[in-house]
Amino acid sequence: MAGLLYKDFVGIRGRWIVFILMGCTFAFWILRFLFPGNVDSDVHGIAGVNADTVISTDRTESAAAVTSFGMVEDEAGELVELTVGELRDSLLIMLPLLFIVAGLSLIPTWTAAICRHDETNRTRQYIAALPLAKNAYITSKYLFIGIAVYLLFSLDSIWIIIFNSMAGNNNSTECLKILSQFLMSFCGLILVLVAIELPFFITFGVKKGMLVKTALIEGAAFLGMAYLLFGNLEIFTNFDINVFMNWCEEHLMIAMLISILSPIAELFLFWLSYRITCRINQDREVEMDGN
Amino acid sequence: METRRLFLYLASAFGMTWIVFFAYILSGHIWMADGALSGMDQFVSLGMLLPALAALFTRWVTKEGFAVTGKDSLLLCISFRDGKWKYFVLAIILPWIYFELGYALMLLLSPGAFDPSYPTVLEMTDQERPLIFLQPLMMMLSGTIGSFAAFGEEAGWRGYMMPKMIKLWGVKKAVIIGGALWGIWHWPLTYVGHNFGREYFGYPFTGFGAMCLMCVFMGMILTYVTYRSGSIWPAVFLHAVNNASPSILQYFVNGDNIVGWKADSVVSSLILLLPMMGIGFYCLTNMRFDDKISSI
Repeated sequence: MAGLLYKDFVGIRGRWIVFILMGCTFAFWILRFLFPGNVDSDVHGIAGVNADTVISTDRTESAAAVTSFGMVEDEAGELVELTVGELRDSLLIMLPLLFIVAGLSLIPTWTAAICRHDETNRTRQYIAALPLAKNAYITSKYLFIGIAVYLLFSLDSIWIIIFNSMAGNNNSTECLKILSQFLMSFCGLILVLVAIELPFFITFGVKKGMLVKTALIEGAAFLGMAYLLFGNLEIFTNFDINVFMNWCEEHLMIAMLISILSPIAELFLFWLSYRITCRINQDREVEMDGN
Repeated sequence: METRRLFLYLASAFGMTWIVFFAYILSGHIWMADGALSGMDQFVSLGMLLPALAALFTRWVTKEGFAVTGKDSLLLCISFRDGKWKYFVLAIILPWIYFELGYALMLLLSPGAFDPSYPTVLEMTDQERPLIFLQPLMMMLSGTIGSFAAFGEEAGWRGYMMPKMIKLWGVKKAVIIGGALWGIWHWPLTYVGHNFGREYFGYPFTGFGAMCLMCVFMGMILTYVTYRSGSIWPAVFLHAVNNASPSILQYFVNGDNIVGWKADSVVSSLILLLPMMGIGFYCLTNMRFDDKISSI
């Protein structure tokens, strides 16, 4: 099994990916050290304007000085001036968010890549001739994706920890803390996506699998557009992240319950997909094109 | 050669982690500031990854290789055959058992600490109260899935240091020395108030001693599950679930009602972890795992 997993690791150019991900993580760590969020002098200090004189941390005092830079709306809808730390946090929070989204979107591309790599090299026919367990090939695919999601989840958590370790007590930090609570569920959603596409890739090959995947994505996009045209758009206009954040803070245990139980459901779907794929491929011969 | 590898590992694990911890501590941070976590808990999670990094570094320098499974490997393989699955299940459930026993022991020694209204003190709503009974399950699951930080420590201490020490000094000596060293590794954190706070008798030296004692006994269980399963993963899960503190009784034990010498944070922590220490001692003395060690 270790050999099959290593083959998939090579198939996605794993060494390069590990090198890049580790490099990015290290760079972010350095960046966070250089620009900590737990400082509370005024934003003018950054721009060099009145750097010596403006040291007030009372945000309401400077609320009248409305500028486009370093101002933010508070919960009451009033414009308040950001401190240096808040500004750094509000800018640097984009990096972990980007990393989480980019990292997780890598997984579905890896699913296609490992299957395509096998088709190109006719690996599946070769494996079928080896004295391995009947489902070893399918198991290795699911296991590889499972391990990849676990590692990415861990790396995402490390990014959040790096951000939080030097963060100030502000909205950006709160936002990321709540996001981290649901990170496990987001990662589980990727597993569900893979659980849908992997049976097609393994059973029908990457080409046909991609057609089915594209059809599903386009279907979902059409449904989304139909909702935008005919649905109730008030939920978007009335959406307030602060309300959600407050709810999560007030109902910590319920939020925790959701964040923990949803991955269980998602893992169950992943396992179900594995069983179904094994069942479908139980008596199938591997065709010459690798499907 | 093994001694050289061991010392190189210890030097790099202590060096890397202590540099990071001291940099943070010397910049004026403590564990709790104004009753709230200061952000250092986040930093510690990063520090927990460094023993694994030290093990990889040592393997690279001493050309030991990075085998995933087998003799002198990273012990990363997962196998449920030959009853090994039991150690995975045990690793996830055991912290719950010893934490409940620990809180029960605390209540036995200080019956006045039992406070059914304590969840209200913890600002839990009526709606959330039933979830107390699901807390152990939630902690066991979140600990198992989000176990990367514990992986960092276990890959170093149990995955690299213990096999070397056992080879050099035998099981019992290795578990005691290894546990004590693991405890010493925590000292900068103990100094800033991790685990026991800073308001206890004999601060910080009694805290240092208690940390070593806890780590020695915890190390006995972790080493046992590692060698029984041939993998570091049960130890990773046990460590992660232990850190998540799964317990129902903790929501009914009001520490403010404990009086006298038992109120001291070091003493109460030791009472809480007494069942864990008992299990650790049982693992060391009554179980035969010497036969397994040679096969790893």
